[in-house]
Amino acid sequence: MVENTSVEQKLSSPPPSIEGLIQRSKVLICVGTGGVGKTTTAAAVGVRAAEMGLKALVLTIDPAKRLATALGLDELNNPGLRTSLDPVQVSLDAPGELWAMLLNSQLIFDRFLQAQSADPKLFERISKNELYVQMSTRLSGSQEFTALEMLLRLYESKVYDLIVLDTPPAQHAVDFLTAPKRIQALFQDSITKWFMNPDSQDGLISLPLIGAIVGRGTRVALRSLEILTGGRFIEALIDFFASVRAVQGKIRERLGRVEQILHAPDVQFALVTGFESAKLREAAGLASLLQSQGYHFEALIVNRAFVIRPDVGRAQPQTESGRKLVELYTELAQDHELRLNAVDQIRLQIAENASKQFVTLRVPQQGHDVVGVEDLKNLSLVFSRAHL
Amino acid sequence: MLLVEIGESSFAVDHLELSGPFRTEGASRGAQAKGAHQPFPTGLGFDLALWSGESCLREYVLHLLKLEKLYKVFFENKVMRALVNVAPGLNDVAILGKITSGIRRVGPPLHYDHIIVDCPSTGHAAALFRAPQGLAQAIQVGPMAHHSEQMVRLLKDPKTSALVTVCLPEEMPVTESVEFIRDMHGEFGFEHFAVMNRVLQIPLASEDFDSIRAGETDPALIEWSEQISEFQTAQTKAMNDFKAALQVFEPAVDSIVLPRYLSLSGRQLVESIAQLLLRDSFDGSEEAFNG
Repeated sequence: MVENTSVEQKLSSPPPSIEGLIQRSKVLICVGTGGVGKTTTAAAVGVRAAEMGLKALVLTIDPAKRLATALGLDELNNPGLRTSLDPVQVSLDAPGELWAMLLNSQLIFDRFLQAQSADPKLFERISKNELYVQMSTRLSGSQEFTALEMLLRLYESKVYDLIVLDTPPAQHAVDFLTAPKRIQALFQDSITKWFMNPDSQDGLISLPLIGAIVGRGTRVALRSLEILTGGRFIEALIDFFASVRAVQGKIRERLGRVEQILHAPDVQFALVTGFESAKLREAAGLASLLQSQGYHFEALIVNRAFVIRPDVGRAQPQTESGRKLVELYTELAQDHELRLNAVDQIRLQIAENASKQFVTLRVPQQGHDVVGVEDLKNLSLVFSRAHL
Repeated sequence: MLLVEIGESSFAVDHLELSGPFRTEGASRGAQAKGAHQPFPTGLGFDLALWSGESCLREYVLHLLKLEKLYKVFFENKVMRALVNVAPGLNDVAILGKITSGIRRVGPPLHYDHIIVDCPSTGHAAALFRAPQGLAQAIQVGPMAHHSEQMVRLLKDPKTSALVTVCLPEEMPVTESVEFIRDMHGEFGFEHFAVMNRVLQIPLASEDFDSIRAGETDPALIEWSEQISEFQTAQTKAMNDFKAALQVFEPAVDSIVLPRYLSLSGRQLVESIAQLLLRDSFDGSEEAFNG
């Protein structure tokens, strides 16, 4: 909700904290492009929540081992675990609990369809459809959809105080948000009905019959598709739609519910970006999109920031080595100044449409890679002090 | 020489401050560089094109269906639009199809000696390269299946395709890059090459840090010296781990190291790297930066 507060007031008020963001969220979705520290940030937020006494879950769909590495959890890579949907508890000395889950897209999609299919034979038929085998996890948006479907299930279960979702490193982070709508569009009655013939015994339409009953435009389009892909593909497509027709209403309903919770007031988005100009530009675009689409975009986290040390800049070195060190600092500080302009521009852009509670963090470059729970604990403390 | 960017927005347009036959929207000039599907000269010795899945698919379908009227019906039909929007890997295949169209002689001519593609990050890049195989399995017959098989053959031919993996001197990027190269090595016949990028040049050796500890009295300077020393140690370890991992492959993967340039514009950065690569004395090692 946008409050009627000037940009200057928003930027000059006492900065909202990451702890405040954690407390008012049930779900925190970390978005951003690749290589910005999204997974590490998600893990550190989970640790912070556990230290605040909450029961937190961090989940990722990313098949790369980033979350496992960040948490120091080999178990997440266990092939046996990857066939289950059970989270793993992270060993952490904290008043709360931290759990982690690596989502298995194929398994979630199968379980989802199975749950929606009242008839087990129907699910068996769908799972054997050659298109389903190819499409279920490679369907454009299916990985994102399965992440959101699991998120919905966990949100409704109320088992966790906070769920932190590390989104896939999509080429465009916006893909994640448009996935439900894209898949929902496919399961509209107005589309699947073209593949059905209510007069035939099994309800299926045959390829020659399509031409007789659909509109001319669709007939031409389907014939074009046949030219491009061959008749066998169309037949598999017909079988696929016939199979899912019985469950498409539930699929649409579930997708609609996913869309609803993405806009719920306790579901917040955090945009994670890096300090490089390319990343900052991409972040600006993503910030605009989040705000224009009405999501509760409540945090900007700029990672790998250079730490300004005026005391180092003013130092009077007594050795040649000390002089070289101060020279290096000056060069890095000048480079940082240039980038800071880009960060300020994004802040101003976001502040125009942000709530008073918007969190902005500038997280300093750490001296070493953040790996394991102890490093994450230190990083989560840095978050508490990293207000821009 | 053609540089290809993939997607809906251009990084190069902003980074290199280019002007060209495209219109832009939004605060970033590259954000909506529409109309950059056709390659245009950059004035830097190469042409640039921005290829999205949609623009490539439209061009491809028009090429196959021949009739513009038929193509319009196809793309304006909501059934087709819904299918196209979710079809697995279809956009990726369309993009790869466009990239390889010149050598396959499919579609509008593409007369370049070399095409350099700025790929997405490793996870998405792997999906891009695997897409034609997946589509060929799903469709199996028809022109799209045939063209997909052609693309797979080209990707597996080291005389045609080379892969340059760019990494940062940090533990996680090194791990992911090595895994990516290993996966691609197994699945495709790319000629492989690797770049360790943005290596911060720290003109201090361990003796310098000892000298600072022993000879400086300013606590801020000493503290910062320790931080830089720690950073340098981590950076050096990442570089060494990367190089060692690349030697394990058969054949071993060659690599070079590029410095992190400070306070340069995008154009200056590209020119600086180009000059470094052209230098006779540059052998790809960190020591050669100041040669």
